[in-house]
Amino acid sequence: MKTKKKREQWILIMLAAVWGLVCLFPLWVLFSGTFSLDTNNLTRTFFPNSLTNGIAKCKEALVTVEIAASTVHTLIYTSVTVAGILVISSLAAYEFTFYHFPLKRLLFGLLMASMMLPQVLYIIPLYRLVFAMKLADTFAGISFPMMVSALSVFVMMQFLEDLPLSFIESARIDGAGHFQIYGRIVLPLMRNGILTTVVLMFMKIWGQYLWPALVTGQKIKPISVTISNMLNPNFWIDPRTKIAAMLIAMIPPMTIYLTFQRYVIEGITMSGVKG
Amino acid sequence: MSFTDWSVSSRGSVNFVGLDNYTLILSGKGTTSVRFLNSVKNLVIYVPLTLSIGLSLSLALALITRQLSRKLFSVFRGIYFVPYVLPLFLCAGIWQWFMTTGTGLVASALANIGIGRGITWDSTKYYAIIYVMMVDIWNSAGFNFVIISAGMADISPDLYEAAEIDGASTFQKMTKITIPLLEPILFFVITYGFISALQVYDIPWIISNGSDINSVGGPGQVMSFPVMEMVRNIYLGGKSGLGRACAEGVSLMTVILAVTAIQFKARRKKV
Repeated sequence: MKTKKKREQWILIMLAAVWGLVCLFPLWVLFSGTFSLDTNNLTRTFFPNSLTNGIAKCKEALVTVEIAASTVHTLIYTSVTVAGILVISSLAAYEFTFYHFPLKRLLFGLLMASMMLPQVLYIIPLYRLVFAMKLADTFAGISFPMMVSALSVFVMMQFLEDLPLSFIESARIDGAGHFQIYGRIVLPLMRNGILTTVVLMFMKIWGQYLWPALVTGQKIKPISVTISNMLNPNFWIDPRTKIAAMLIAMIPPMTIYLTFQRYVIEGITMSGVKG
Repeated sequence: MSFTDWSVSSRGSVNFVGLDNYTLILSGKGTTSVRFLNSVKNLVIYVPLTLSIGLSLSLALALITRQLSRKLFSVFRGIYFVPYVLPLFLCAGIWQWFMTTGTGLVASALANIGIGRGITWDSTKYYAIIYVMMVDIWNSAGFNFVIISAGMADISPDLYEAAEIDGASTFQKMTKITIPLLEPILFFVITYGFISALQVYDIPWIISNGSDINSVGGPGQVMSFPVMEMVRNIYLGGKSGLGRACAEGVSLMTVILAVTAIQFKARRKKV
């Protein structure tokens, strides 16, 4: 009986490992492809064998493909957007959790419904608007429309729900105003919620393609647009440089994921299980 | 807005044209309409297949890893989530490299076992859709897995204990306890999957080289989807460009809302 159970376990581990391999293998191949000699056949390169060539390719990717510049640009607009999301969503979450106001249920329903609406639908009016405000191809133009995020309001509300209402009440008895309560009590107590939101939103906005591609032109180069232009078959570059560029572009989101893994998974779980 | 003839280049002078945009895109006459209807056809193939394969995969993975120790489970969860962390444009990039005929790893491996030999995946009918499906499932399985397994963790262990005392096998426990109790989670995953699958855009756009307006969707639009057609209309400018794009968007939204409403209704009946 015992040995049978053990065998069962091993089979299950093997099965689970197969998909794990499918998940990680591409990344490994990407890595070993970059750090290999030009003479190696890329289809059969499974192990890195040349550090110097890899570094040269990375340099080329950073400069020629403009990965470095796009990373900086993307970092700027992503940070601005995430900061905006934080201000808007945390205030909204605070309101929705602790206050009663007319039409609250309706407004909340609308907020949740907007999570289901396809992004493409409001992208056209937004584009018109940004264009009319002469904000096309500026950091402000990319960031503002992405700052409204129902998902982050929702995630933050999940964290606020654990906060006892008596905290707010006692503060109000002591004569604190709305913004005092918000700044002194709610914000410090929802640190985890804020961190989760930041991590989730950062990764989400980093990967945005449709909107940044639409709104940018000559000046700003989002990383997503740079990479997709590079993949254009008419744009010939050395295959290893291509791979190196993808490898470098992978670093920021992967770093965030590896550092904040717990928050990422918690946030995703929360948005799914409770929603 | 879907009832007007505005375009990117029209300033101020926007005319109301009633249902013209809708009749145009649904008529089947002219390039815009043919392309749009074709993209809808692709979508009809793509959505159910992606959802069913992707969900069964994540469900199977969740069931498997559930039987393992806590530590192994977290390790696998960490690994499975990696593809989802990668932005879609990178997934598309990596897979484009893998699936290039002759030089791509996966394409040549598949050719060796006789699948799609001598075929360019991104420009052959049906193969192109499967291609997009593979990338999407690879990317989203981790997300679904995390949610499903979190739902499984919420199921009370008492139930399993009771079942064990009654002599239920592992398989019986799965089908009789886990899956029925997981219903709300599965419902969420399916609804969410539907909404996002209907809007598939990034992956096929990049793979089929959408930055060149003439090649959106690949030759013969084998890989074109409604959102791509919308964006194409925006970029294309021309008379009524935006109006048509809006009309396409509204049609798509109607479908999404209808599907979601049906799902909610069907669920209420069951519970």
